[in-house]
Amino acid sequence: MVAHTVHAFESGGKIDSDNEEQVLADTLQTTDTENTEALRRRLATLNQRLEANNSALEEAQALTHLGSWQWNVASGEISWSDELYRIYGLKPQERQIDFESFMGLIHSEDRDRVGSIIGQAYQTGAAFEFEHRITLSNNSVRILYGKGKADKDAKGAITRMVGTSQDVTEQRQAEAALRLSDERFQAVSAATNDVVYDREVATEMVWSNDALSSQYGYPAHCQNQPLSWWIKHIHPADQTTFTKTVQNILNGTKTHWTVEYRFKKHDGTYVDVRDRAFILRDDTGRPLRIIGSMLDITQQKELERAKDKFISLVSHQLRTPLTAMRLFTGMLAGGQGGKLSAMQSDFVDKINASTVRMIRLVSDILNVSQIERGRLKVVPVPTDISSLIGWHIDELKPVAEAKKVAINYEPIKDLQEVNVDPVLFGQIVHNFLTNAIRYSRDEDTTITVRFERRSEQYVLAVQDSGIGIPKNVQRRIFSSFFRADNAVKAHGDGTGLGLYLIKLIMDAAGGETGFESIEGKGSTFYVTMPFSGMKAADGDKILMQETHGED
Amino acid sequence: MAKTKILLAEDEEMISMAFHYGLTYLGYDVTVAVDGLETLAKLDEITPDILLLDMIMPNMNGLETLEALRQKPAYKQLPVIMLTNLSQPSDMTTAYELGATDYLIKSDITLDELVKRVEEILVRA
Repeated sequence: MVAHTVHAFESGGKIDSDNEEQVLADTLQTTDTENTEALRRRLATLNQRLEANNSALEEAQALTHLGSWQWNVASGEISWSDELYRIYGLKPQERQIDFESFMGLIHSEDRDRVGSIIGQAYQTGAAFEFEHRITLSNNSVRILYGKGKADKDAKGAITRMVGTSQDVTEQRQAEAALRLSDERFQAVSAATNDVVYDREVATEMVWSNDALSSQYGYPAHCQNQPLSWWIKHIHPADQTTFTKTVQNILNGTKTHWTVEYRFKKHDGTYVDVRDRAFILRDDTGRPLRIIGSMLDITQQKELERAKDKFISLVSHQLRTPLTAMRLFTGMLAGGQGGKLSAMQSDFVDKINASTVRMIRLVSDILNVSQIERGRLKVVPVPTDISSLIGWHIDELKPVAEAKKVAINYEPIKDLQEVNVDPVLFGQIVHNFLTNAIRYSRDEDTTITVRFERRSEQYVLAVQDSGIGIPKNVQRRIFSSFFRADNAVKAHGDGTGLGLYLIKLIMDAAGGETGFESIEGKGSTFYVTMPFSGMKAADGDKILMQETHGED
Repeated sequence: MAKTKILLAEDEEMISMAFHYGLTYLGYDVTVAVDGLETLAKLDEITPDILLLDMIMPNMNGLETLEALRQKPAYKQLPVIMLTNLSQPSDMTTAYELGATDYLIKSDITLDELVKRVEEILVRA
């Protein structure tokens, strides 16, 4: 029982003690033997009520980690509530607390300050509140928030001091973590040249950091603008794409987006930006906030444009003299420059072959560069696949025969026409076959070409028993300009663009590209597409007529 | 039989020389122009049977020259083969819209293929 704690509270589970005392006194005055029983009953009722109130109070204190204390100045006695003992890491009422032992529990760095606050309150009688740390017996440190006041008698002398103490450690830690996180965010926002923004979907208001001013020149008040303000500053030609893309993503389930557009600076010029955002959704998937950044990629874009221009210029400038070389060597070989000796004729053929190879290489590079930068145009038409494959096999037969490699293709029966872009599909067949022939290990081997239905897809597969691809480079096999070491050793030629080109084509046409390979045993390369065939793509790039990308 | 008259509009000297020499050797009457303006002038001068027209040239490029000559009634039906190193589909489309008969990528064809194409077109014309 801790009846004394009740008095520490002026409200809450309070017993109206003054009134009850009066009733008791009245009862005692009129007491006689027959009233003794009534008195006893009354006391029992009061005790019950007191206990009920006390237990409610203890429960409330435990729930809120709020303890209470009082200090009877006259007697020097200090009493603590059970919860206060627990807060200090002690068993309720395990020992009597005096001022000395109380100070001993205070964190050493806070002891003087706590002493002076209490001392001042004792002298002035003013209410006080403060925070301080305590050290528990296991050396852990807790943070307490205390409030107290002094009670005075009629003459103004202090009779007792009462107060509460609440463990706010978790709260303060959470606040500190939040502050740290906010400081970090502020620091990152300030350190980066990116515009960082936070858009509230419900209000369509967008907050942004200082970069909007420091990088794009807008006055500070623009850092809080409605979404419409932002859209207005996107290049008119990019607005529709932006709003469409963003709306599609918001309506879907994605949590991220990356879009690129031109954004208007305060001085009216445009910068290329890459806008990457994280979408915060509620439990039902409804977008709540969009937090993102706008990275200025103008320089990168300019570099890309310069690179494209350079490649285009170089390949054009290279092709012109190469074309002249090819025409003249062609005429030499044709006897238009006079009759050649057998050796001269052989030399001219070699010059011619090298020239043709160089023209192809330049075409490949230009092709890849153009497809990378633009969108590849895919025009699927109903196509007799078997004839198309057969045509490409026939075309490469001389090369295969020279290596004593047979090409086996058995068209599946009942195959209707398939929707493919014949030029692009032909390129794929050609590049697969060229590789398969080139990297066949032994003479008298067979390359198997299949075009078949597999579950919900068409699969074109070219299987060889060649040198295979080493496991450690398999993931790079579709990268541009990549050639495996064993491929280079087996065959010095090759640009490392053939498979890359196939991947670019299938990516544009909505299909998949893949392979299985065991080094020393052989490889199977394949592309797959749905029964609907290649997907049409309205691009601005087509393949050059002569592209024989290899590898 | 009179020789077939070819007007070759090509500003790249080496390519022009190669075609000039090769086509002459194969029995054609070849006249060379080095830009768009000269092409239009030589058209009136020699009235060729066919025009080989380079896309990229100074003083009116191939497309501009093609557009200009198709304005003249005398050249409405003249077979014109565009010669280029470019492969932009938009250029091809434009060339056909302006009335090109055919379109060849220079680095991809041999002299024999060019001659074959010329003869096919002349038979049709």
